[in-house]
Amino acid sequence: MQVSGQFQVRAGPGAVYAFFSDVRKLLDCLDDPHTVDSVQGDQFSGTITTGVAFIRGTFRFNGQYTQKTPGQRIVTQIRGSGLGNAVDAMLSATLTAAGTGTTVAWNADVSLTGSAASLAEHLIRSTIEKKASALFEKARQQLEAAPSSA
Amino acid sequence: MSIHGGIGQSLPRKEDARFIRGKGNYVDDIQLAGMLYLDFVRSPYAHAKITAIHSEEALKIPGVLAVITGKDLDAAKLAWMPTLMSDTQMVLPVDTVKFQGQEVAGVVAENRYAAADGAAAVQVDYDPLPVVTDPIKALQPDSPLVRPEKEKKSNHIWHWETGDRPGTDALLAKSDVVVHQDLYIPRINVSSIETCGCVATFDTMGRLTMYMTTQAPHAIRTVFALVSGLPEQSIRVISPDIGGGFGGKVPVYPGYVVAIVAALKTGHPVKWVETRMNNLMSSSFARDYHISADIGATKDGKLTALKVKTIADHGYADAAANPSKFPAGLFHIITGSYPFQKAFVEVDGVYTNKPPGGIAYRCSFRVTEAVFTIERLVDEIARKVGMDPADFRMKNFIPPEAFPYKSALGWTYDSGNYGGALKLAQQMIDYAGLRKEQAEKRKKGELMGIGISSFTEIVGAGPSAQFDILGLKMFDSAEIRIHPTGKVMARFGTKNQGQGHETTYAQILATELGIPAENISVEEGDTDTAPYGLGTYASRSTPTSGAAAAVAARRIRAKAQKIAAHLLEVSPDDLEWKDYKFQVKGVPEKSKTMADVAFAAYTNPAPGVEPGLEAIDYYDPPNMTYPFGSYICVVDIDKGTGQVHVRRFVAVDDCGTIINPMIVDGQIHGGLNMGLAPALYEQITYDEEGNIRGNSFLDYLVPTAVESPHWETGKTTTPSPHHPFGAKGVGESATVGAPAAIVNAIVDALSPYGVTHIDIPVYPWKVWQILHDHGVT
Repeated sequence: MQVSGQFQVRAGPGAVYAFFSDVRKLLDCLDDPHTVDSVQGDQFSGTITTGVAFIRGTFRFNGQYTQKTPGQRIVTQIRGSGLGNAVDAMLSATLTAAGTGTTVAWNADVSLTGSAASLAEHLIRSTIEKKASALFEKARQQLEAAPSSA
Repeated sequence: MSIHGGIGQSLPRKEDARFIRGKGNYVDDIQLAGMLYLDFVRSPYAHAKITAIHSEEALKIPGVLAVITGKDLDAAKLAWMPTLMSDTQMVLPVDTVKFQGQEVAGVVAENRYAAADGAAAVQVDYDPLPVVTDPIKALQPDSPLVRPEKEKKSNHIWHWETGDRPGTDALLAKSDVVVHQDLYIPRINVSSIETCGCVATFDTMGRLTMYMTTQAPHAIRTVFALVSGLPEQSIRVISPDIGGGFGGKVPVYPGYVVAIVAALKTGHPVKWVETRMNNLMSSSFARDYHISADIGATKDGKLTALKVKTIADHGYADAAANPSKFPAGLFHIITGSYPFQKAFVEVDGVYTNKPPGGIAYRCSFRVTEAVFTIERLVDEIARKVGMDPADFRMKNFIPPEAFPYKSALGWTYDSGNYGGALKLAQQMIDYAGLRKEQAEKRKKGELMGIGISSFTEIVGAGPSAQFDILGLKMFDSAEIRIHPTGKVMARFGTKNQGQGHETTYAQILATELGIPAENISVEEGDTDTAPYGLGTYASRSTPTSGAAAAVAARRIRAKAQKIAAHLLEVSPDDLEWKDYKFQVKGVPEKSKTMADVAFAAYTNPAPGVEPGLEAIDYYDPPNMTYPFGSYICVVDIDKGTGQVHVRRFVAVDDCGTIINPMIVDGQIHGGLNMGLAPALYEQITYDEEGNIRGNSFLDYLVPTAVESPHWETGKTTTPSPHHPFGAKGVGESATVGAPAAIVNAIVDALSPYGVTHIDIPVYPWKVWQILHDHGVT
C-alpha cells in the first residue's frame, strides 16, 4: 500500500536532509509512544506502541537508511513485528529547493500483515495516511521552529 | 404394540438432560492437577523464511516454563506429520512458514494468560517470500513454489479424472442445447461453537491419555501411535462432549501434537484450546473449488451429457479429509438425480499459501460442491430449453423402477423416488400458485424468485473395498452388553457431536431387543472401552454403526432365543419374536421378555450355552446409502438495496426409515441454516499478501436466528434395501441441498435481466450492482 504527500517547509534542503538523517529526531515526530534502543551508523532499532482500530500493541522494529543523497533524497527501510503482525515499510523523501525553503515529496510504501491487516482491513489505509501525514507535519513544524534552518 | 422409545418415535434426546443443565463435559471443562497451558506464536506472513526465533524475553515472564520450536521437534523427527491424504504438513516450521496464522512456536505456561503473554513476547525474525493465494495463478510457470522441497517442482498436486471424456465430448457436440457455466464455491470454515482443543497427560508409567475434540478417536489413536512410536495400547484417546464437528474435528492439528510434546517435556498435563480467531485462521477449511461445467440436452428437454473441470485449492498441504482412493472426495456424485448417458469429471489439486484442509463441512466428501453444480446447471439448461425447472426435473429424474441404478460415473444408487419428493414439495408450497404470483409481480416490476434443488447424496462410507482413511477400512462397530437386570450398555466406534446418538442408537436397540430406550445407555469416544471404529462424519453413523447395532442385537436375540426356550421348556424353533418378546408359537401367553432372558443368562443359562448376553459387530456396508430430497425456496429482492429475503423454504427429505422424526427435523433445520450460510453470507478470502479476510465473526458472517427463515419440512420414506432396517444418513442433506435452491431462486428473480449465475455468497452489493447495471435501482 502506498501513500504519499508533499509539503513546503521554510528550511533549506541541507537542514531538512540533516533532520531526516537523524533517526531520533525523525521518530520523535511520531505521536505514538516509542523508543530508539540502538543507532549504529545507518542502522537502528527500537519499539513503537501503536495500532489500528482496537488492535494495539508494541512493535519491535529494525531499520536502516538505504539511500542517502545529501540535500536531495533519503530512503529508509523499516521492518517490525508484534502481536501477530508484521510491518515492512519503505519511507522516502525527495527534497527540492523552493526559494528559501524546500519542497518535500514523501512516499510510504507499507506492507502490513497479520491480525491487524485482517481485522481492520478497511481502516488500514486511512490509519497509515493519518499517521504519515501527522509525522511529516510535525517534522515540518520542528524544522521551522529550529534556530537555524539554512 | 410398540416399545417405549422404539424406532419412529420422537423421543426427547437423552443427552439434552445434561446439556440444558450446563452439565456437559467438554475439553475445556477438564481440569487436572498441575495442568499447564499451551499457546502459539503465529506467523503474520503468508510465506516467509524464519531466520531466528528469540524466546529469551518470553521465558522471563512469570509463569512461562517452555518455548517449543520446530527445531526442537525436528530433533525428535516430529516437525512434520502425515495428512489424511498421504501428504505431509508441519507440526511446527523449522525454517519456513506457509500461511498466515501458522503455528510457529508453542509457549507453555502455568496459566493461559501467561502463555498468551509469552507468545506475544517471542520475537521471530522473518524474511518474507513471494506469496500465491490464487490457485489459477499458482499453476502458472512463474508462480512462487509453495512446496519447493517436493520432487515435483510445481504447485500442481494431482490430477484425477473419471468417466468417458471422448464419449462425453461427442455427445455434447451432438446435443441440441448446451449450457456452459463457471462457478466458484468459496473457502468457508465450519465455525463450530466449540473450537478445537485438547488436554494431554502422561501417567507415571508413561501412558498417554489425550482428551481431545476429535470426531474419530480410534483413527487418531492409530495415527498418534504411528507418528510417535508409542505403543498403541499406551495411548488412550477420550473424546468427551463435542460442541459441533461438521468435519472440522477430523484432522490432526499441530496443537494436539505440540501439547503431547509439552506434556512429555514438562511432566505435567498440558491443555490447548484455540481462540475463535485461531480457529478461523488455521483450522481446516472447506470447499474452495473453481468449477467449469458443460451440460447438454435435447431440444425437447432430455439431459444428455455432463462435463466438469475443477481446480481445487488445497492450501499449502493436501490435508483433505477424504477416503484414500478419492482425492476429490465423492465429487463424482455430480450426475445427481439424473440419468446422463455420458459424463466426465476431472479435478486438479493445487498448493497455495493458505491453511491446509479440504474437509467436507457437513457433507460426505465434496458432495455439496457436486450438488450445487448440477442443480445450478439443471436450472440454467431448463431455462434455455424453455421449460419450467420443476417440469424439467420431473422429465429427467431417474425413475423409481430403475433402482438400484448405476450412474454414468459408476455409483450404484440404492433406492429413490425423486419425483415423489418434488411433487410433495410442490404441493406444500403451492408451486403453481407461486408461479402465478410471480407473473403478476413481474408485471409490477417486483423481484420475486422461486428456486428448486432436487439433490441426491451419497453417504455411509463405506464398503471397505472402496473406502479407507490412511489404509484403515471404513467399517464401524457396536458392542452391546445386557446386564442381568435387563439393562443395556452399548458402545460404538462412532462419536456424537450433537447428532443425538445417545438417543437414536438406544431407539434402534429398543426396537431390536425389546428393552425400553430409557434402560439403554450409549457410550462413545473412549478408545479404552469402545470398539474400534472410524468415527462420525459424512453422515456415516446410522448407515454403519446404526447397522452394526441392529446386527449385534439380532445376534443377541438369536442366543436369547435358546435361553428363552430353555426357560419355557420348548425347542427354540417353537418360539417366535413377537411384540418384543419370545412367545411360544400359537400360545402367546407363554412368553419371556428380554429382561427375563438376561437374568437367566447369568443365573440359569441353557445347557451348552455360554453365560452372559452380549455381542459385538463390525459392520462393513455392502453399498453407500443415497438419501435425497427436493427443496423449494421463494425469495423477494429489494430493488433499492439488493437485499435478498428468503420468504419461504420447503424442504422435503427422504432418508429412508426414520429413527426419530424430531431429531431428523433438528438435523434438517441445522443443515438448512448451514446451507443458507454459504449461499448468502460466509466466505474466507485472502488479499495478495496472504492476509486472511474473515478471521473473526466481524467479517465471517455466520447467520443468526435473525437471518434464519422459517423452515418448513416434509418427508417421504424410501428405505435403503441393503441397510438392516432401511435407514440412510440425514445429517448433511440439508447443507448439501439448500445453497442451490436459494441461488436458483435469486437467479430466477433476476432472470428477466439476462442473469444466469451469481457466485456465492450472494451479497446485497452483487445483486445491487446487477440491478444498477440494468437501470433498475
